[in-house]
Amino acid sequence: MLWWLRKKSRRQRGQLEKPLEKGFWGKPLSPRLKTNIAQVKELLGESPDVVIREFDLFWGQKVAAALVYIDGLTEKKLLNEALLKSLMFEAYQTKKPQRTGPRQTYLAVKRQALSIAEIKEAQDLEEAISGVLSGEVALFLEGIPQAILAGVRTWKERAITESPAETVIRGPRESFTENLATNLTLLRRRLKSPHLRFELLILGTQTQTRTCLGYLQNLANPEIVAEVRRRLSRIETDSVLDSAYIEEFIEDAPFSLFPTIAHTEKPDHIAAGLLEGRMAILVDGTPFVLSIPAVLFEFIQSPEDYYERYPIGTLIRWMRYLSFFVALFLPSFYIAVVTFHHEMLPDALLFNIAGNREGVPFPTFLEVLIMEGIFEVLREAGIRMPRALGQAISIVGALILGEAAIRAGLVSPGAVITVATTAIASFAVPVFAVAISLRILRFVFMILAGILGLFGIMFGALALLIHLVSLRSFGVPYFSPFAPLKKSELKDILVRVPRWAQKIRPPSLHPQDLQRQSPFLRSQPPKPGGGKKDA
Amino acid sequence: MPEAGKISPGQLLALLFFAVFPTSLVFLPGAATKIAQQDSWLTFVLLTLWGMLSASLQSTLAQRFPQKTIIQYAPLVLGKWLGKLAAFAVIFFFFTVNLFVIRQFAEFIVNTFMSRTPLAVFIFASVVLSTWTVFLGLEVLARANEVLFPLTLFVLVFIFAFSLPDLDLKKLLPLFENGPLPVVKSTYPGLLFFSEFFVVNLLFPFLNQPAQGQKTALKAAAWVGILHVLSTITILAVFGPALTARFLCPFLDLARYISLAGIVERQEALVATVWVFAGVLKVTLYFYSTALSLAQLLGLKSYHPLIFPLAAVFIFLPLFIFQSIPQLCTLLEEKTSPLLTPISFGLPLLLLVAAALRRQRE
Repeated sequence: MLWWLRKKSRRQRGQLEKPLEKGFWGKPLSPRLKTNIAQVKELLGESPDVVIREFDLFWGQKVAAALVYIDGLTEKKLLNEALLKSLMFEAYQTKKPQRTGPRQTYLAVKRQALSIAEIKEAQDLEEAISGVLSGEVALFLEGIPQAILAGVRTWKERAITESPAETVIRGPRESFTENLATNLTLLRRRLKSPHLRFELLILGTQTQTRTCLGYLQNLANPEIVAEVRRRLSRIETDSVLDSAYIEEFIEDAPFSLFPTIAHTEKPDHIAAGLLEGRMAILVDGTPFVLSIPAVLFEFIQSPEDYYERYPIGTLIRWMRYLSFFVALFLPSFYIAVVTFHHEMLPDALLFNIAGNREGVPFPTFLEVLIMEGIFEVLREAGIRMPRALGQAISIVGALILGEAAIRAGLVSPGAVITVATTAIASFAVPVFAVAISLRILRFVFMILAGILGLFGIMFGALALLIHLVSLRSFGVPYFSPFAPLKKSELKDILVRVPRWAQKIRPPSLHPQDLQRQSPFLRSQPPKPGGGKKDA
Repeated sequence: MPEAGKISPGQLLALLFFAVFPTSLVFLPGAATKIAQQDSWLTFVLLTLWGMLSASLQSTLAQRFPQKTIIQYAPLVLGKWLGKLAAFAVIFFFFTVNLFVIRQFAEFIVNTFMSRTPLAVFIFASVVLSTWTVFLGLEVLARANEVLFPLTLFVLVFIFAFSLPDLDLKKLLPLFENGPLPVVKSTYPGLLFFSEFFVVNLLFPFLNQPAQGQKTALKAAAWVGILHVLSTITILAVFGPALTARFLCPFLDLARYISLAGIVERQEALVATVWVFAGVLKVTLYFYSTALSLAQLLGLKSYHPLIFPLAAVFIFLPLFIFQSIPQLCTLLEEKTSPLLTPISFGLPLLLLVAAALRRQRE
């Protein structure tokens, strides 16, 4: 049955119902200005933001011309100064050239009249229109079956602010914005290496989203880069509105709960990744940049581990590992111990729990399940509701998850403490995508614990481990550096060694060059008294 | 080739460790103490030597044919029909051992912790989990082993350390009370367990550094042996021989006995954790070995079509062919060694001698 299904899906793969409409129109440009303008009008319709400005320029003889642009995407001042003014007045004043004709005019305009840095030629209508739609100005001339595209893009954008999702106490605060060009600058400003490469792709037939694959050419493994490029190039869709769209198209384990691609808003995080041989995918319109490949332990780290001094970094990291386990296992462990394995508790605690549970009508399993469920609803409500209602939610939340619920005899204090501890621990997992996986898995483990006690949890844990070691992210094993074991990398997982001891880049990412820095960087301050022993 | 994965020497070490370790630690100390009394730790010294001999024999043979599994080279050495017969014996070995392991695994949990849960639940759970792992392939299994190996060592060291206050080494005396003969006799049930390094003959072609193979096998045998000696000494020194012989699983009782300052108490949950992890890994390894060797004997391109039928067999047979835990123990103490050790030790010896005489190697 399964084989048959798989064969069937293999047959279907690679065949679309009908090919997606690629690009817009594919019509050539006409040498006649009138025809071109009519075509543009037909395609873009009568939108109020589409501006077609017809004028004459004089280059030995009168030539009819037209500018097409979208109001709001272009910078008006630059448009007036650098395009219209120079075409209509400055070009007019020049002496009559030796040879006249449309071709000469076109070349002269292109080479002399336009004081704009970014100039392109559009060979057909499609190119011209997509240029206009992404904020360029198209210049059509009578007698020329081509258009000049001048880049005078500008639009309202959010300022570079501190990331609300990833806050740090020490370290760079700025975060990416929705503008691809700004984001590229943020990275360029950090990595002034000539090896930094950005490859541009246009994705989405309707949205025409500009997407950049960034990597350091001298570090990133070329095979992984080729694989990322291959997966990106097979995306055929109508829209890409966020990097999450791309993530779901190219990730390794589409059915797994765990993300195999990391994302972040922080340029320093991405820069650090690029410097280890990772790749970044930047998408126009979203501040979230994808980082490839990703391993599990990356999601339990924060860039700040590297900005704080290393003993603190190590300690915090361990606290986070602990929180990870607590967030995953505590409620199920509580259920298992209270329901099946009383002998594991110290006697005094056992009596207390039993005493407190006296009046509670539900079995422990249901009790914890209900409380966890209520907590999840509270959390979701807290995120989605209008800000003004925040206080109301917190008051009601405190009632449900607190003293009142206990006094009403609905739950026991043990369950409330368990749920509350779990909640706090789950907030300590720094990456939201993994925190969500933990939320789902927590319920799975609770059900397993309700059925088989500790053994249920252990079977579940083993299944989880087997799943995790079976995952890969772009060829890199997801559970590395533990499996397969890379001893040199463990010092960045189990502890956070000082900067001067991080001599090589992580080998599991297969960078082209392993050496990160000089091996003798530990500071050696001069001893007082010129190196002589104290008298 | 039915399997494409590659494993590292570290992973092979973990695989070989778990190929022997979990069920032997649960079963052997008690069984050996029944015969050898307070000298049973010496049994494990002997068994360690036997294990290392076995491991070196197996890996010497495997190194002669580093690109082939035992199923593939047996016909080359013994001729077509004898070779097929040998291959059949190998499959029989993996299959039978797995039946025992599965039943032991479930019996242990039911008899020590979950006395009101049916045996079938645990048999089903372990086989389903290992079916899935076998489906994912050797690499995944090897990585899971690699992660859990240090964890298991940590738990064992933890239990040894917290048993220190209760140690009374005088309980190990007198040495050789009844002469050395009972010690030699008590190795009998362990002969099979400590020759289970046999599985290296199947895993060797997937090793990415074949030169490290022999060293790794010997290391695995040494780890297994030393940990058994240490555990048995600790168990005997805490409980004495009379009590030890009566326990179903002395090591579990050792963990139960731990008590330190009223806080670190009754650590049997740790043993249970290791038992579940290690037990399922062992089941998976033998399940995998059965599937792979059967596929190679039948000349299949992949062992995947065999997984589901085998899973069904592994769920139902252990439930019905054994009646009770005393029967299971008696079988393990008296019947399995003479039945299976000739395959796990005798057959490789025969192959090695034959190959040496015929000057075959690759």
